[in-house]
Amino acid sequence: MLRPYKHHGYEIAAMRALFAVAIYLSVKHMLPPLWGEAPKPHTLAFYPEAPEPVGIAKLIPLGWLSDPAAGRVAMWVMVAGLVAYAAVPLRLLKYPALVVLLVHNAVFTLNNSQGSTHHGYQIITLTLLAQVAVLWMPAVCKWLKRRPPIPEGLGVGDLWVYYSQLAIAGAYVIAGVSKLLRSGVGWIIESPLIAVQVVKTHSQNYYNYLQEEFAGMGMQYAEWIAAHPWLTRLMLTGGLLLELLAFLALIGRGWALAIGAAMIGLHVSISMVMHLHFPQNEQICLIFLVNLPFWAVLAGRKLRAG
Amino acid sequence: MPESTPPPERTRLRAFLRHPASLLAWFTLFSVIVKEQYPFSHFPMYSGFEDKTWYLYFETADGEPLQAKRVFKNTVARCKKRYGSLTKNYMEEHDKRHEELTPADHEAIGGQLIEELKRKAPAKVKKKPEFAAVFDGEVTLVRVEIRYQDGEFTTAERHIATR
Repeated sequence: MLRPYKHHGYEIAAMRALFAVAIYLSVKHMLPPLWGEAPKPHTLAFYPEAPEPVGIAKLIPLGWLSDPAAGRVAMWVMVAGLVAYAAVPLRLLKYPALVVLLVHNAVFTLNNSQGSTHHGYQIITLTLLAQVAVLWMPAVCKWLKRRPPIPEGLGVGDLWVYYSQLAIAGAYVIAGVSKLLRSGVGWIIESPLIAVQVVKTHSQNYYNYLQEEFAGMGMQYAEWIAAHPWLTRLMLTGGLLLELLAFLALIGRGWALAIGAAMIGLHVSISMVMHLHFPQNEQICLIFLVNLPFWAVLAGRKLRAG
Repeated sequence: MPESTPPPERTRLRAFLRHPASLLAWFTLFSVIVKEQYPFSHFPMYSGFEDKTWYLYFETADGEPLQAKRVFKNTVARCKKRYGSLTKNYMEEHDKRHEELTPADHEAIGGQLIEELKRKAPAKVKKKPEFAAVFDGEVTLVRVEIRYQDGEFTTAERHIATR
């Protein structure tokens, strides 16, 4: 139970291609475009320094990435890496995966070294980190003159999927554990106080672009929450349990589909109520947990079989 | 001498450590310890609730609110987090606890935030005529406190700093 299992080549190929697109979408606004002038400056252009360095920014200066010329080179390296990531044979994937990991990690480490933490991109970098570890494991084992710990009947591609899913599930389990460590079960009792957070997030959204649609909208949701505390507790407890039990996605495709779909549902509902959007989380759950290509092929076969 | 068998607890522990999914337990433990070291995080969002919270926004000298994301490329949520880290640095430098911070201290911290955001904005943005009031004039940082008590939501605004 909870062990790696066999995947079809087309599943792995689809995951690689779709994940490459998701990675590109995550860096698109952070770096300058491949050519031409962007209508708006890219995000890293605002971060020439790392005032509160985290991760590798503590060891390596990363502010140079804010320079448009350097940023454009990073974008070219990233795009070339992503094309190779999606296209090369599996045995060569370790090279572009490492390049993509290094650029992605550098970009978002600088982004998170500004004295404020954004939690939308870690899940992508962590998944890439797990993938790179798996892909380089046979080479490291060869160098150490050890037998690679690949279970019989499985290949590196199967472990690549398994550890990607583990990194994704882990990100959610950690979020659940953090809630219990800070608040214990009191988190459930006090959860209707999320109403003040709803007012805050809507007001913050309003002051980002002065969009009228957010003015006063948060208060409507907050008043509903305040009027239905037990329903709120029930819903938020469901979310907490989902985070804590995310590791069940490792059991098999059916569990991965259920957990992935539930996670996407959780993000969509948070998006609707709090206007806190986590598109990268939704995309990654769709790619590695829901795994639509497998279910589409299965449904096609069943239909053909009659 | 008879061969000794390890106690069942030790066998179970060994089996757990050999299981590939045990990495998830290590990953969780490691992330909770290192907290925020990108790409690792302990994902602390909404891990605790209070009956009050606050946010920040910016306004121009004539009292018009600013579109923070357009002008500074930072959401007001990120500006709040940066205000928090500047406050932490300020408290360390001045050997003060949070309760000991005066409005003058908050003015200094808020001023630092406004100056930093203005300084970091790329020249291209600073040159835009629609942002002249921001980069040639003064910007005020406003703090809004939201409270839920006795079934009522209340808000209170306070000007923190102008630069």
